[in-house]
Amino acid sequence: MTDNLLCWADYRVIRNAGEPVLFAVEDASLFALSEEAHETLCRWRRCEFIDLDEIPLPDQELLAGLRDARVLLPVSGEQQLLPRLEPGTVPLSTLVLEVAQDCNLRCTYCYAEAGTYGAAPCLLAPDTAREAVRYLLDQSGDREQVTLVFFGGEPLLNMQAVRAATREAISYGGELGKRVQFSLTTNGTLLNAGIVNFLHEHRVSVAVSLDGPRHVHDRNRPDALGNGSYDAVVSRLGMLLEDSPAPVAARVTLAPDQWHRVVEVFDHLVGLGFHEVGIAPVSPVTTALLPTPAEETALLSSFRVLARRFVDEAKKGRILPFANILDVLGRLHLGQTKSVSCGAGFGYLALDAKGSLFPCHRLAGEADFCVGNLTGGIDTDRINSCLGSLNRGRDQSCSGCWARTLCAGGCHYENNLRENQLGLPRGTSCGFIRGWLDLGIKTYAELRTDGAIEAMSRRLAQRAQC
Amino acid sequence: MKKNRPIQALNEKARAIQSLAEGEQATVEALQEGPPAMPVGCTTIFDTGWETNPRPTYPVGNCQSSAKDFHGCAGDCWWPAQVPDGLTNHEDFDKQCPNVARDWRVLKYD
Amino acid sequence: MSSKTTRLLAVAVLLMGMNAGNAFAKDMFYYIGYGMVQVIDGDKDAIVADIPVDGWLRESDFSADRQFLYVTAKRHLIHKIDLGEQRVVSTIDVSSDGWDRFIYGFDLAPDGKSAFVNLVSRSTQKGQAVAAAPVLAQIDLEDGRILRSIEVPWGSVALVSVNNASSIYVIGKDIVRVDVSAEEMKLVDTFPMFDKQWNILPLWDNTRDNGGVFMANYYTPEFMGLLSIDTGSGEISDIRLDGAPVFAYSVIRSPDKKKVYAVMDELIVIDLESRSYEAVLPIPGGTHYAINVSSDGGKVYVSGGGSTTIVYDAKSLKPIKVLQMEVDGMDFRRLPF
Repeated sequence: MTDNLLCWADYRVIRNAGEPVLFAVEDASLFALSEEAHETLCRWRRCEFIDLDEIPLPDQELLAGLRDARVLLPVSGEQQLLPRLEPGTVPLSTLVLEVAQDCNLRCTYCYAEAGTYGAAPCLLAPDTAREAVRYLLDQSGDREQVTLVFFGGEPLLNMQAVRAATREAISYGGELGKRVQFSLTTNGTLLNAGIVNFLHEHRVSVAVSLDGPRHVHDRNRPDALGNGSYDAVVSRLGMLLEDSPAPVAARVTLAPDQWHRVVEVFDHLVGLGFHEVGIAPVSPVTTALLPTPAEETALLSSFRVLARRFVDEAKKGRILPFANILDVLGRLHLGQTKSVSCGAGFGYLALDAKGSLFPCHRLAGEADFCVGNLTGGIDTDRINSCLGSLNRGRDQSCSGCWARTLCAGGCHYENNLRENQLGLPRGTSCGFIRGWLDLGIKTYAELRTDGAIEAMSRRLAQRAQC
Repeated sequence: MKKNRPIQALNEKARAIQSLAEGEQATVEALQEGPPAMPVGCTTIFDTGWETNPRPTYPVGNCQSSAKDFHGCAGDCWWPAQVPDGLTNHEDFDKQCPNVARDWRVLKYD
Repeated sequence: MSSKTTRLLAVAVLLMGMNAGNAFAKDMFYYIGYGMVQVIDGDKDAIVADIPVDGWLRESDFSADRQFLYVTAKRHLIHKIDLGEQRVVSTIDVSSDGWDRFIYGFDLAPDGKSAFVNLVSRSTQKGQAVAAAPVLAQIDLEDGRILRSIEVPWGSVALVSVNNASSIYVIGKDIVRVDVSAEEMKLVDTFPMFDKQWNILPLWDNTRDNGGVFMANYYTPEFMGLLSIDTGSGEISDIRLDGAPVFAYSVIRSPDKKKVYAVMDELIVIDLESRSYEAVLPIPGGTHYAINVSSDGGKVYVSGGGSTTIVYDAKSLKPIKVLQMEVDGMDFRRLPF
């Protein structure tokens, strides 16, 4: 047996504007194929094994090219598997502080039960916040930079803890020679000049939850009395955006019956001056929020419109601040593959207001997912068992999917919600995820063949490493 | 981008895989061959605003992009680790933001 | 009428005025920017035209008849700009035949058809990188063809032609003199700098603006000095300054030859008679790369680095005007009419 005996790797050919683009699944590499190369590929695909020495020219040359691209692999070669990650072996990089498990709004889709995560309203004590910062820095191994996220509920309800944590991050981070980046997600209704000064002074990256124009936003995000919060947010935006040293993002959540409004929502928010807009379909916290196939199609087509505009802008040398597409393009640009779907429990943890640790902010407050506390640290067996039980058998159900190295099973919280709480079968969101990644690949291929990606490649790469 | 190649790498991973197969890893180092000398690499006194900035003007932090010295460093690879190099890989990098002080947000450089 | 049209007309009028033979020199300044050259009327200190140019610009030189400005871009393109028409009329690329070539030093030859360039080159052969020795080359400005060349030391960044272009000084770690008067170019002389611990960054060559004298500052561990090369006589001279060095990117001499202005984070005034620093003024907004002075000596301009050009009154050293340029810049050249 020679090294020239080859077999096919897993790949998928996606047609972008008629041009064949090959996505090699294990490497997450992307190649543009000439029609001739594609025709040769289709013709030889039927042979399970290819002996290059036996193939006549010019096919031999093209197949050798596919071997160089690792689309054909030596039969004698060892299969390369992504290294398996163990919790506790990855230094901590991000800690989310649920500084206030309380909120002044009553958003209709809130997964945290009015910010409380299903318990009595509670604020994180400043001392605990300081202790948490020291834990993040102590557990960060050789990382020179870590991220501290202020979350809630509404974090501005507990500025005392935010300020205490920030001060501690600067002083203790300074002692250790580490830099702490701050980010904060807020509903924006409690911003004032003092808070904005503080956020600017510490270069806090702020995400404001704003769901679009008044009629969309106010339906989703009323206060406790049932009044809309749009005016309260927008009247405070100016001071936050003005001279902000860090980008300010709009964080949008839309219910399925609002998904056809995505473009309108995006334009409205860019018009308000946000530096970036990210749009999330709501998590189905109740079955009423589960989308119909038609609504999913509407969401994908709206995203397709924005992706189209992103390409048009990129050709003019401008970047449309559409966070969703920037994120997926960043990962496709580097060809990042994943063996776990996200960092939850691996370098990413959340601390609830009572000082318990969870794999991520969305799982905070779910007793089944409590994985430790500040004094005892994390229990890696707990992380393995709670994420393990959630994902048992998923490797296998994902093994036939072309998107597996990009998606790696999807969001733990979303899977838990759909499968364990709503009792849905596995894979109810897979169609949407694949549709979105397919759109990402087409968009990337188009930008790349036009050369428009060059100018933003560094930014994309940087984004993918966050 | 090489045209007319039947199998053309699109993303960085694909590019790395192809160049691995072709053994072409040394191109970038070419300019650094020969005895170490100017202009590829500059002395510390000439590039203000990058490593340290003792002067009472922005940027305040160290190792940040400096609005005043950004493209001068990028084009000629004075600081190839911190900005894209204009000689080999990104010769049109400046086009996305030719006025850094005004349009730095486009760079998202933090 | 659009503002752009107004600008173009304004310049056309200026250029016509020039032909009428004005008794007083009128300055036009050329801002060598990123993807653009901007034209500044030195009387009004106002931007009067934008000339789009592809790439990040570095060296520049005016043709002897003052009709054309040549700029190098991305270290491998040479654009010819017609100053009357205010547009790029031709572009050549020195990279060819599988070689990437990079220009560090550019000087127009007196024939107006060729230029001297210092080139660093690389290629890939059988998957391996190959770097060729740097050369001083004379190239045809029509097509970029190398007419003749000679190997020069590594690390050269500027060229100065002297004695009616019979010799070229190649400035790098040392200065080597290349005799180009005969068909075959010859290295004839070396003026040492490296062994004297001089540290020099002569990226801003404004010999023409400086009365035909190339001037750059250098540093030793102890002091700052001024290197100057008289392009008429070929004489190299060196002025050592008293006092702690002040950091500067580039320098220019006042028309009355009594002072030298230098710039980096400060505007620095050097008195040539006493060889000392007369003033060191921090510049609002920070670093600038380039410095120039009006023909009558009344105004000093700092520019480049970022996107501002600041006009100073030379006597009071007070800023008179700040011009917000469209793009960041590298250099600021003067052409008197």
